[in-house]
Amino acid sequence: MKDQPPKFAERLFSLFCGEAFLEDLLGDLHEVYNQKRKTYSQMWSKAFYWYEAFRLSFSYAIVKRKRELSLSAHSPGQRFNVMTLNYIKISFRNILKNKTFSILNIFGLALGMSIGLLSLAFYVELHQFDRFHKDSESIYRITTTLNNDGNKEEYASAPTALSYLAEEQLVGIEQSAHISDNFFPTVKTQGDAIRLQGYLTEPAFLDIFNFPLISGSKNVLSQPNTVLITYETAHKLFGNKSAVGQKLETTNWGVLQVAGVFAPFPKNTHFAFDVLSGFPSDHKLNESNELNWTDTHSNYFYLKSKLNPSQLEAQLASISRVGSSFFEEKNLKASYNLQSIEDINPSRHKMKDTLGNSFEWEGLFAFFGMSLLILVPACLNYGNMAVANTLKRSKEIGIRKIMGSPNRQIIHQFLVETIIICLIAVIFSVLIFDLIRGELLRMLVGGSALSMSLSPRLLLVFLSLAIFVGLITGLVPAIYFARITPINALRNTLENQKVSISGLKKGLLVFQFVLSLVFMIGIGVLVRQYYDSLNHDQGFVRENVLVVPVRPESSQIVANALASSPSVTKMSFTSSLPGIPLGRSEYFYNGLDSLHARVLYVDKQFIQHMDIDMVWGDGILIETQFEQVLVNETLMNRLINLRSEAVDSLVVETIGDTKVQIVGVIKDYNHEPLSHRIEPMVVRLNNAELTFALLTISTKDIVYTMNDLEERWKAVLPEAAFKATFLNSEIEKAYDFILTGIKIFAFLAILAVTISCLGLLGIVIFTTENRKKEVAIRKTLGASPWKLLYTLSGLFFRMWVIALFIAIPASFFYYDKVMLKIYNKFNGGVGFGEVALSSLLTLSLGLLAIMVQSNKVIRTNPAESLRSE
Amino acid sequence: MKGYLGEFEELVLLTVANLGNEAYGVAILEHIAESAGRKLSLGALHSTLARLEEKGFLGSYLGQPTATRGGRRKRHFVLTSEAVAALNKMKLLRDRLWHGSKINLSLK
Repeated sequence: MKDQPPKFAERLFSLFCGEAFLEDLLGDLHEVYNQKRKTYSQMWSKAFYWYEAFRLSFSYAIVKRKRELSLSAHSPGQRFNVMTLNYIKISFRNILKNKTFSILNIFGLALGMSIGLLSLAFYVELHQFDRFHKDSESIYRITTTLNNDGNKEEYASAPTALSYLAEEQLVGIEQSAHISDNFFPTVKTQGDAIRLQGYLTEPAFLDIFNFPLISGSKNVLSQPNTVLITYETAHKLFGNKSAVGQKLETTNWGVLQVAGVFAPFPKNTHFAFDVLSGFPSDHKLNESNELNWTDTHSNYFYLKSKLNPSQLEAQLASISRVGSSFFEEKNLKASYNLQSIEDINPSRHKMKDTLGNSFEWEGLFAFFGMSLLILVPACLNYGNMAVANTLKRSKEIGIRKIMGSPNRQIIHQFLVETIIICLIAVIFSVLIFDLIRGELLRMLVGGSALSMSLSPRLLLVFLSLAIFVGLITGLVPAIYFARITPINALRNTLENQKVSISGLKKGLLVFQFVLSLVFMIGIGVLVRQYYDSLNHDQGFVRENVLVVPVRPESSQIVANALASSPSVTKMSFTSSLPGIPLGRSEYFYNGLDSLHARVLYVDKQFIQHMDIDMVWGDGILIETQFEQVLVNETLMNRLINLRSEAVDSLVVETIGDTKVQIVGVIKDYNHEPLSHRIEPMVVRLNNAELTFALLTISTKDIVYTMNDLEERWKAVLPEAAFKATFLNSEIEKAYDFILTGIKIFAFLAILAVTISCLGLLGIVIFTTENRKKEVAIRKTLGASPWKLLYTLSGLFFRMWVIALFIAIPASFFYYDKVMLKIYNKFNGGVGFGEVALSSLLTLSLGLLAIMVQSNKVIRTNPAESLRSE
Repeated sequence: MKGYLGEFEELVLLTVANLGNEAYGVAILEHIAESAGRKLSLGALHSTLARLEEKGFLGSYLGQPTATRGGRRKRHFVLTSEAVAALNKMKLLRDRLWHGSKINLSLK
C-alpha cells in the first residue's frame, strides 16, 4: 500500500468545498500528513488527516473562499449541489402538490419493487454463501464430470478411491476432508421419531470450515458412534438440559453418544447437517475395486490449497488415470474439476448428487423473471400517469424553456423527481418485503438456510435498485417533456397531439388484467382445495380421536392407565398418525425382486379402532411362528405383478431379514395426506415401535376429561410430559402448505390487481384530461356529458372481455396441470364461483376507477375548461 | 481598515514577520508550536489567516510546488504596511503601559 494521505478524505473535502481554491490547503494537509508519518503509524496519521480536513472544511478560510466565488450573496457558490438542490426542492413541491397522483404512484411502485427486492435479497444472500469460512476462496471440492458420447453429466461428488489417492498424492494441498452424507440417524422420541441429517467426516473438516464448538473437540470425528450435534438439534432433542453425554437411540444407526455441541453458526452455508460423526474404520477402501471408482454417490472431498486450481486439476488428471479403465468399460469418460466453495451457491451448472443446500441460477432467473413481470408494468404505469399529468404541468415546462432552460435540465428535473418517488416507494417496499419474506422462505426448498435479514449491505442494494428503477422509469416521461415546444406548452394546445391510446398500452393493460384474474382464480382454487382436503373422507375414523405421544417402552403402562378413564371408549397404538406423512419404509423381497413399501407399526386394535375397510381377511394380527402382516391393495397388486403364477392365501415374504405372512389386504386408503400418492404399505405388529396412543373419547366436558387423563398419566409416568391433541387438528397441520400457497397467491393477486388498476387509472386520466374541452363544448351545446363515461367504459369493457377470454382457459390449463403435480387427488379444478367472483371484482374495480375520474371531468364547470380560449 | 488586532492575530503576524519569505501554512503552524508551545489545527490557523487577509494585514502569493505536498503549490503570506503600522501601534501602546505601571512588573 502506498503511503499516501487518504484519497477518499481528499475527494470528499474537495467535493464539499466545491469550486473554492484548495491547492494550497490540500498541500498543507499533505505536508502535515507526511510530518505525522515520521512519528505515528499510518492509521493514526490518516485519522489525523481526516480530523484536520474536517476542521478545515468548516473553517472561515473555506467559507470566505466559497463566498468570494459565488455570483450573488444568495448563491452558495458550489459546483455540485446548486442545481440538484433546486431539482430536489421543486420535486418535493410537485409531489406535495399532486398528492393523489403521488400516493398512487408511490403505492404502485412500492408493490412493484417489493418482489424485485425479494429476488435481489435472494441473490445477495446466495452470493454470501460460505464466505464466512477462513480463506474461503482457497477451499475447493472435487467434482466429477461423466462424459457418455457427448452427454455430459456433472456430479458434486467424487469417487471414494480418487479422494483417498488425492489426499495422499496431491502436492500443494494444506488440508483436506472427506464427507459422506449417507448418515441419517432417526432418533426415537416420545411421539414421532426425528430424522436427522448427518455427515460422516474427519477431524480436518473442523479445521477447514468455521463451525465453532461449545463443548467437545474435533477429535470426536475420528471415530464412529460418537457425534457432534448442532445447537438447534440439541435444543430440539434435549431442551435446556445439557446434551453432552446423552445417548441418542436411533432406529437405524444403533445408539449414538453425544460428545459435543456446536455453537450456533451462520445459516448461509451449503452444508446442511444436524449431526456429525466419524467414518467407520473400514471406510478407506481398495482403489482397485471398481465400485470405489464408478459409484461416486454421496462421497465428497474438500481441500484447501493456495495453488491455482488448474494446477491441481492437472495433478488430479494424472492421479485419476488408475481408475479410468473402470469407466471405459461402461463407455464413460470421467474427468475431475475443482469447484471453489464460493461458487457452489448459486451454482452455474446443473449438478447431480449435490450436498446440502444447492440453489441454481435457473431458479434465480425464474425469480428475476417474475419480478420483472410485476415491476415492468408498474414502471410503465408510472410513465403513463406522468405523461397524463403533463397537461397540468405544461406551463411550468413552457416557462422554464422560455427562460432558457436546456432540454438536459428538464430531463434532469424529471429524473430527480422519479428517483425521489422511487426512494419513497422503496421504503414501503422494504416494509412489504419484511412482511412476506417469512412466507417466501417457507415456500422455498432449502429456505431454512436463508435468512434475508436486513443487513446494511442489503439496504444499500435496495437503494441502488430504487435509483436504477427511478432512472429507467423517469426516462420516458422526461424525454416526452423535453420534446414539448414552449409555444405549444403555453398555448395549451398539447391536448390535440395525441388523443388515442396506443395498442401497446392497451395490450399491456389486458396482460395485467389477465395476470390479476389468474391469481384471483388461483386463490379460489386453493381455498376450495384446502377445505376439500380437510373434509375429505380419507378412509379412517378421525372424529373425537385424541392423540397422545408416548415412548414405545411405556405404551403398555399408558394403555392400562388411560383405558380405565370412563370417557375413553376405544384405544389403540400406532407408529405414525393416519393423515400425516409416513417416514418409514422397508424393502419387501419375494425371492425374485424387491419392493419398496411404507411400514406402519400398530397394535392389535388399530385396524378395528380406525374402522379401516379390509378387502380380504379380518384384519386381526396374531403372534405366531411367522410374523403376520397386513398389506394394502397397492402393494398386493404390485406383488402379483411381480409374480407370474397365481398365489395362495398364505404368502410368505421377507421384510429385511424377517419372514412374514400376509394375512389380510387392506382396502386402499389415504394414510398419508391427500397430496401424496397411495404408496405400497405394510402394517406390522410391534409393541416396541408404538409412539402414539389414539383414544376415542366421548365426553360432555372436554376440559374435565383432559385433566382426568393427565392425572392418570402423571400417576404412572410422573416424569414424562402429557401432550394431547385432536387427530383432526394434527391432520389440519399437514395441509398448512396450502395455506402458505393461498397467502402467496393473495399477495400476488393484490399486487397484480393494484398495478392493473393503477394502469387503468393512468389511461383514464390521460383520456379524460385530453377530452376536457370536448366535454365542455358538448356540455355547453346541451349534449349529455355522460358520453365520455360510455366511451371510457366501452374501452375498458372490451379490454376486460379480452382478458377474460385469455385468463379463464389459462387458469383451467395452469391449475389443472400444476395441481396435478403437487396433488394427485385433485378433485376441484377451476370452478364457476371463483371465475365469476374474480371477474366481477376486476370489473367493478375498473369501472370504479373510470367513474371517479370521469365524474370529475363531467362535473367541472365548462367555463373552467374553455375560459382560456 | 476595521477592528483592532487580537492576541492570536498579533502572534500570527509576528510569526509571519519572523519567517520572512518562508511564511506559509505549515511553516507558521510549526513556528507557533515551537516558539509559543501552542498546538493548532490547520483549520484554526487558516481561519485566522483568512480574517487577517480580509482586514488587509496580510497579502499572499502562490509559490513553488514541492514533493512533500503532493506536488501542490504553497501560499506564501507577507505583511502589508497596514500590518506593520498596526504592530507598531500595538507595541507603542504596550511600551507605554509598561512604562506607566505603578507596581513593579519586573520578575527580579
